Amino acid sequence: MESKLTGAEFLKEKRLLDLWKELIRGSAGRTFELMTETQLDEETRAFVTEFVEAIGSGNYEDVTRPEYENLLKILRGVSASRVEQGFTPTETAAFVMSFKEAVNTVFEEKIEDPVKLASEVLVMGNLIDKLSLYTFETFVETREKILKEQAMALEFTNPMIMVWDNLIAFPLQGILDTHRMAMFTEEMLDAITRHQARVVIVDLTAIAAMDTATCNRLMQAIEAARLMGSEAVITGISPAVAFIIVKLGADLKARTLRELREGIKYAFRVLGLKVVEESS
Amino acid sequence: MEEAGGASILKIEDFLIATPQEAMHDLAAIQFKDELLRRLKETKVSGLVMNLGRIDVVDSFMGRTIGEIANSANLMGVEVAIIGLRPDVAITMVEMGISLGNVHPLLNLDLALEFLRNQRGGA
Repeated sequence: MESKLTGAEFLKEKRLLDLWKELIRGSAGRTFELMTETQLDEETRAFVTEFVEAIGSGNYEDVTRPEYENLLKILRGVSASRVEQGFTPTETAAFVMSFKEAVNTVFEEKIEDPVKLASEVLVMGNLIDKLSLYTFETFVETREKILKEQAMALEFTNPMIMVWDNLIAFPLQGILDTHRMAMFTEEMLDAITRHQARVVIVDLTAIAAMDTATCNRLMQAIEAARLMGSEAVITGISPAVAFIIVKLGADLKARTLRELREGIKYAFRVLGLKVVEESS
Repeated sequence: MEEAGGASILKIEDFLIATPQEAMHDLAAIQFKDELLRRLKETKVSGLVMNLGRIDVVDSFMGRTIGEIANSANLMGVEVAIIGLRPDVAITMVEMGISLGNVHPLLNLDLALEFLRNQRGGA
């Protein structure tokens, strides 16, 4: 086992924390556009505390050992939040890299013996590099996970409900963009042919907002359904979606009804069906 | 059968059923139009069903021709229904801005004939 680093005690000083934050502020220009000062304060303080705790064990080499578990957990949290907040890989790496710089500066100020200084800076540098790599790895991992989730959301097809003979319904949900809308159009028109649907109910209850391009696409889908001899009824339009349609100045050629059940009632009328209460 | 740009025109009851062929070039489209309108006059039917199920590509000329046929038929007192439009063709027509405002799109031949019978009853 190596001897304990004498410089470790200087790391507890406020000087290191101030220096570090200053470096972050200087290096990653966008940091404070993307996160709050308080968040950075908390992250840096927690990191330094756990760092001092971990090297207190005398292990400066192997970050996979249990004494580093808490520190790695903080780094995972930092990486994950950076991904969500839209940081670039460089900006994320700057977090740990600048810590190394801060540590070096503190050591230079406090350790007078040049030989000792050189060896301690080297040991610390190697250790922090490992942590830096770890941060980067988790950053990439988190990002890949999110990308995969997004791709899955795109693949997710719209469920179709066969409500009655010649009557189908599509309860749309999630985020509707032009790509998903194009997919939906295809699915809906195919379903019309396959099920000989005279009425299609498109339920937008679970759609909170829609951009204008998507709205245009929806109207094209409805018009295409009309050309195929099927009537599209839209139900459950939210105030936001209603406003977009109005702002578009679009002539929505579909019947719009308040909720799904009114859509079904209307469809039954078109199909010449009647719901009769069973007399008791 | 007369030359109608490769299309078939059948008569049933009081109606004509016209089915243009899949790849109709411009000249064939014109022949189809002329022949169809001539038959409408000759047979004195009250309704026309255009079965577009065999068309897999539509261009603006084709789209306009269908609209013109429908318009002319309307002026001759004939109701027009279209059936069998394929999903991709329907989307293309919408994207090209062909609205076919004066025809009645219906899901299948049964519904089209039922619709035309009701129209006749109403007139």
